Amino acid sequence: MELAKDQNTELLRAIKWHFVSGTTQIVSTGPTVYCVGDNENPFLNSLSFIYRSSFNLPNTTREISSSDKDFIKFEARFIAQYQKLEEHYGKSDFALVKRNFSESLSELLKLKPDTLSLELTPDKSVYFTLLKGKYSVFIQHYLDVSDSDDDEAILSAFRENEKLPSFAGRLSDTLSELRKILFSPIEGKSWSPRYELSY
Amino acid sequence: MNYPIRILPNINYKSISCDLSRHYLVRFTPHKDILDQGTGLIKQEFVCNQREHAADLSVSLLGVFEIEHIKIELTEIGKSKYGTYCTPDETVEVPIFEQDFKRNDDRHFWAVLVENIMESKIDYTGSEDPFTAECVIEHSPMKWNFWHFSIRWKIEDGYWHEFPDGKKRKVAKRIGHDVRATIAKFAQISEPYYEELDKAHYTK
Repeated sequence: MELAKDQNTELLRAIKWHFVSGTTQIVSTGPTVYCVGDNENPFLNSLSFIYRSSFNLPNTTREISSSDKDFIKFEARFIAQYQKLEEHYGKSDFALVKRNFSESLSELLKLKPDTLSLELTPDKSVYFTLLKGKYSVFIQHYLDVSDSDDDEAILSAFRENEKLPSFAGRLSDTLSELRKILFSPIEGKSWSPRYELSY
Repeated sequence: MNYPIRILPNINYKSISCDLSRHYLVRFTPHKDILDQGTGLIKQEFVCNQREHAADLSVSLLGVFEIEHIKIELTEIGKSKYGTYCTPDETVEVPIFEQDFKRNDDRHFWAVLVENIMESKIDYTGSEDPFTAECVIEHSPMKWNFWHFSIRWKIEDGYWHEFPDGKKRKVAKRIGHDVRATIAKFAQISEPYYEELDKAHYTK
């Protein structure tokens, strides 16, 4: 796997190579090749190179540190709004509510939105509005769910003015759906690995 | 201040069921600063107060009902006399200023194009307890306002606000969320250009 140092964060990033073959787009990290398109088995040596990009290696704690300022800013807003709505939160454990809020906030910040806002609601949820490129995303995370049958999070999104299917369920599943929406390089299709090489 | 008689029900009026796609719906807000500074979108708390309101959102059709009419606020007496649904051709006494209504200049508004709401279907087929819902803009005249409409949602089993409480709660959360998102996405706080509905669509 080819690595390069990010000049701003000094983090090591892995390099992806982007190719095209007809209507099929291919991305290779070296050990793994992903294909999306009509040709499920492109002959790699005949591909046209488009560009290189980089991506974060997993479990890079310094990546979280780079958005500490944003995290602190939003956390302060959460606390200020909570104080105004405290009567609606009744017997809810503040530490639990804050911990749950921090979980969704940190995951959303990792997506590097263009704009992010939050509103705490009287029904014990935090309502995030996230703008990224052509996407407008509204995600509501219920911070004190007592009934396992209840939705923990709800997601609705727009691609420009087109409304996309919504999703509701566990927070982790909802965030997973959000990542599919934001990072599907061919809109409406999903990446699927075709080849994986071991060292 | 004289009450705008043109917005009252009239013996010559009928129920409106035509295509309203190119018309605007308007709802009052109690505050002027309702946009989030970061996103520029309407904050969800100003779309409607409680999740229950999202099931049956009261709005008015802009046209004969003008932006200025948003300032009309019924008094407690006025609410008891005029705050109920009626037939389009109901005979209604003209509300009296300061007894039945007052002017509230602190009322502001958001407006949304009907087409944008109608095309934003609710689709939870990818979730547990899947369902889809379609927006229905229903003419629901009230004694104080013939141009009162209701934004409602119809799923395959019927109108969700009529469901039993258990199922209603889960669907309510999801639809309430989607309604807020759709309104936040498409609503505007500047006065849109609007025209009156053709008389053939509301007169007998």
